[in-house]
Amino acid sequence: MSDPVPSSIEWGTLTTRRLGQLMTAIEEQRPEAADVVAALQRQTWPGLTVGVTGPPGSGKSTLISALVRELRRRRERVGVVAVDPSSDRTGGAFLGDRLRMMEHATDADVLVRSIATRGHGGGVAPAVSDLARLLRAAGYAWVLIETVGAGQVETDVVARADVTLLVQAPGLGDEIQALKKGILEVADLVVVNKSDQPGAVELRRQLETWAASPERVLATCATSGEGIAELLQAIDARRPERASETSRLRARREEVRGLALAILRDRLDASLRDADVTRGTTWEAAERLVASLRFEP
Amino acid sequence: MRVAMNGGTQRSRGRVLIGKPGLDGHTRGAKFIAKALADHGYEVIYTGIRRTPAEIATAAVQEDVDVVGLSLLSGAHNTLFPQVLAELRKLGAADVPVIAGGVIPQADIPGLLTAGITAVFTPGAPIEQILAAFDEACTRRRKMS
Ligand SMILES: Nc1nc2c(ncn2[C@@H]2O[C@H](COP(=O)(O)OP(=O)(O)OP(=O)(O)O)[C@@H](O)[C@H]2O)c(=O)[nH]1
Ligand SMILES: [Mg+2]
Repeated sequence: MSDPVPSSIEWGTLTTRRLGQLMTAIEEQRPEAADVVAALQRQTWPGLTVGVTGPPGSGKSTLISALVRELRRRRERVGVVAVDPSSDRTGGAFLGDRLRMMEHATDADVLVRSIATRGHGGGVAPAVSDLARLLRAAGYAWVLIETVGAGQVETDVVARADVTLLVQAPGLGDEIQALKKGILEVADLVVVNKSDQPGAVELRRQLETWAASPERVLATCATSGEGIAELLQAIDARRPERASETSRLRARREEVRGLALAILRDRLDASLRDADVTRGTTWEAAERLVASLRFEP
Repeated sequence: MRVAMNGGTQRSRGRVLIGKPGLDGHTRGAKFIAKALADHGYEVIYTGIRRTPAEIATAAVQEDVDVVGLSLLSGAHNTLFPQVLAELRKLGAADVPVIAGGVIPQADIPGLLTAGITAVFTPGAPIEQILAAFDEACTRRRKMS
């Protein structure tokens, strides 16, 4: 990064160029980003961060693009952070979500950023939260975060959003396995996307019985835009400032839990690589490893 | 055993954007390069076909990529490639190197290089050479910043 970070930042006047570079600095945890992150974390920025997760191909990116369209109709500025997994083997990643959002490509009030998980495990979650803060500080009042809902990583990322959507769609085969507990609990709203496809009605009915309250389940067709305005309304109704004290506390507990797990996972991951796995059965080796763990600050 | 505090974060080689300006719909070359770059350790953002120079430049700036790769088979390279460079300049990203590929007559290459394109590849160029050009451009840029 060429120019140093100014001590008191005029968030609203940052150019897209500068924002893009700041995002890189935050993502890579560069020293020069530390002040920025500290400043970003000092206050709550106006706006709303929405987490969107769900199995591959359920239509998350298309849905986000449709939500952006609706938000733009309301003259809202929107930031999107799309997270895709890095390859463990090569460190590379194919970040393809933006492809589905290109209709907003030259809209100066829409900023899309693609992020790879870079083997952080759940540890990418804090960086993504900071990116969302930066976007909100810069005046993108709505921030939509996409993650592929396969595991803990995604749950951690979206659980830190103000409102969380779990996207499902008919015809994905074993999509129901993505519903394994946790994520259904974390999700504020369950979206049955591809409502134009066969099986959507059944899937919706099934999800309504699983989700504690049927009104949490909504149907959309992201490609035609059907149900998008209603979804946006439902998201709006779940703004944290409208939530009760208990549900706010629950959300905070969830965020802290997610954070702690993410930190743990990163550290464990690093130590497990050097573990002695040669003696005994694999089970014994695992037990021995766990017993030997010691934490240092 | 010690549990290290700053655990296993992994680094990519860099971030690149692959874009196709112009009207042709031949995606094979662009997708092949995108895949090869990802396999080589880059984070690759693919913007799809028929993008305007402004769309490509805006995406490159929002994504803060280290290198932009352009692919074009429609023959409009002499106008579209310099237009991408101009759009990048407009956004304050003149320092982002642009590597181009496609059906480009030898005679046009010097002009493109003079215009500011970092490297030009024509069909049949070995993939190792293309990857090496991205590596070099990326390393040079990361050193500068
Ligand atoms: N019929 C129909 N197709 C849809 C709908 N929404 C998305 N699609 C299609 O589903 C495919 C996948 O859409 P994406 O938006 O890329 O899905 P995604 O969940 O973001 O996928 P990943 O990021 O790869 O996990 C695309 O071909 C979309 O056009 C919908 O409501 N109806
Ligand atoms: Mg997607």
